[in-house]
Amino acid sequence: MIKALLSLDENLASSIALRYACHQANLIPAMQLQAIHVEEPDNNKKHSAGSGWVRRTWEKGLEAAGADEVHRLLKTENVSCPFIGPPKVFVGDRHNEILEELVVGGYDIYMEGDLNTSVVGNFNNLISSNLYRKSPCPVMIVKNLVTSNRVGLLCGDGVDHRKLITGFLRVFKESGLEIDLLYYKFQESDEVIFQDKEEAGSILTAAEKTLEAAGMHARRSQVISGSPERVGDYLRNYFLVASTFPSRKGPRLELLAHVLAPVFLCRQ
Amino acid sequence: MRILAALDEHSYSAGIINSVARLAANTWADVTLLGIRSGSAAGGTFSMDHPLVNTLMGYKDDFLDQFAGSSSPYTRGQQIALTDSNGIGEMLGTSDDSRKELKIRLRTGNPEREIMEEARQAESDLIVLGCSGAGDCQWQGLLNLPEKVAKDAACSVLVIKEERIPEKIICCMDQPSVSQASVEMINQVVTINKADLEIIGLTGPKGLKEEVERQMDGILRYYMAQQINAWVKLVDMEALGEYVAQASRDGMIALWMGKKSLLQKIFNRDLVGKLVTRAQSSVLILR
Repeated sequence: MIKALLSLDENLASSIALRYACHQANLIPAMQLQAIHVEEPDNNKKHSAGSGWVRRTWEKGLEAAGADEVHRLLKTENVSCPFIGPPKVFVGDRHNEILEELVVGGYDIYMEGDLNTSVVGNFNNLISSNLYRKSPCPVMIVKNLVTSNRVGLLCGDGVDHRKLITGFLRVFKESGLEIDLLYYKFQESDEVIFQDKEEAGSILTAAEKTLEAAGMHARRSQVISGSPERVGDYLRNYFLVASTFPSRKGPRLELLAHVLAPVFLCRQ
Repeated sequence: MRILAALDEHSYSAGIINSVARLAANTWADVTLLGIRSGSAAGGTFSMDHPLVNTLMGYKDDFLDQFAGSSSPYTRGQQIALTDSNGIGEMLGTSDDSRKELKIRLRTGNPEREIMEEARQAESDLIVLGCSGAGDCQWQGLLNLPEKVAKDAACSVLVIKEERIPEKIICCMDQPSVSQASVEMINQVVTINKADLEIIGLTGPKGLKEEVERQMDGILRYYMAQQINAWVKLVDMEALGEYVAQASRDGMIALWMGKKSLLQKIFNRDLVGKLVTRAQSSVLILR
C-alpha cells in the first residue's frame, strides 16, 4: 500500500488538491489517502483559550468545527477517493500536528494544496518550513488540477538524479505515467529553447540508465533553457514536475516557484 | 446577445469576420456590421456602388459563408435593399424569417463617436474591432481609436490583433459578482481559439477575499466541466500592471471591469488604453 497524507482546509487550494489526489489515487492501484485537518487555536483570537476543563471543552469544540469543515468540503467535492478511514482532525500547531502524523503514520507522501503566486520568496518559505524540512517522506505541492499523463523529472545542478528517480518511483512506479527527463539551464530569454541531452553533459544519460535499471524508460530526455517564468509556464501541462529539494536559492528554486503544475519534492 | 463589429476596408477588419462569425454561432447573437465613412468624405446618402457598401457586402457574405445548412441561425436574405435614414444607411443581410439578424449599418462622422452611438442605440453587449500590428494598433489610420473605444464603451470590447491567435486567455478578477454572460464569453473565446485559460485571483493586503476565492472555485469547476484546460494563479494587486504587461506577450488578456471592481481603479482608463495599444495579443474588456 502507498499511503498518502492529504491536508485539507475549506478553501480553493484544498478543493484542487483533493480532486488531484483522487485522480492520482485512481492511477495508482496501491495508493490510499488519509485526510488530515488541523484547527489552530491561536488563530481563533475571538475565543479565550482558558485553562483546564474550560480549554479542553473549547478545544473539543474546535475539533468538532474542524471536522464539520472537512466533511463539508468532502461532500461538496463529491469525489470518489480510496480513503483509508475518516478524516483525522487535530487542534494545535498545524505544522507540528501534521509532522507528528507523518512520522507516526508511516506515510509515503504528503500532499497539500497551495495556489501559485510565482513569488519566489513565498515558495521558498513554504519549502523551508519546519514541516517540509523535517518531513520523513516526499511532499507534493498541488498548485493546479492537471490530468495529463506526463511527468517531468527535473535534473540539474545540485540534483542527485538517483535519489530523485528512486524517490519518485517509490510512489509512482505503477502509475503508467510517461516520464520526461529534463535538465534546466537558466537563460534570460523570451523563448523556451530545447536542446539535445548532450548539452547536459552525462547527467541525462546517467539518469536514463538509472531509470532503465528500475525497469522504466524515459519518453524523452531534453535540455530546456529559458527564464524561470517562461520555462515554468511551459511546464504547466505536466501532471507533476518532480525534483529534489533545492538546498539554496537559485534558478531551479525560481523555476519550481513559477511552475503552474503540481510539484513533487524529495530529499537528496 | 448583440454583437457590434466595427469594420473598415483594411485587412485587419477582414481578419476579424471569422472570429465574429464563430462568436455569433456559439452565442446565437444578433450581429451588426458597422462601416463608417469619415466625416470629411463627400456627404449625401449611401448608394449601392459606394466602395464602403461593397466592402461591407463582402464581409456580409464572408460572415454568412461560415454558416451552412438548415441549422444556421442566419438565413441569408435574397434581396438586399439599402435604406437611408438621416444619413445612416442600413441593409438587412438576413431574411425576415431568419432566427437571428445580421444587419449592415453605415454611418458618417467621427469613427469613435459613431461606434459608441451605434452601440448605444443597438444596446450592444460586445463591440468587436480589429486593428493594425502590435505596438501601434491603428484603425483607419487613427492611432488611438481602439484604445478610446475600449476605454469609453459601456459594454464589453474585444480588440482583435491580426497577427496571432492566443495560446492562452488570461482572466483577471478581484470581485465576486461576475456575470454568467461574461463567463460564457470567455468560454467562447477560449473554445474558438483552442486556448488554455488562466484565472488570476487578485490579492490585497489580507490575501485573497473569501468571496473571490469561492467565485474562482465555481468558475474553475465550470470551465473544467466544459473540458477547458484551466489554471489558477494569484497575483498581488500592486504587481498587476507589470504582470499584465508581461502576460500580454503570451496571450489574450481579459479584464473583468465590474462596477465594484478595484480593477477599475488600478486599470484606469489610460492604462486600459495602453494595454489595448501595446499588447501583442488581443484584449477583452468585460463589463
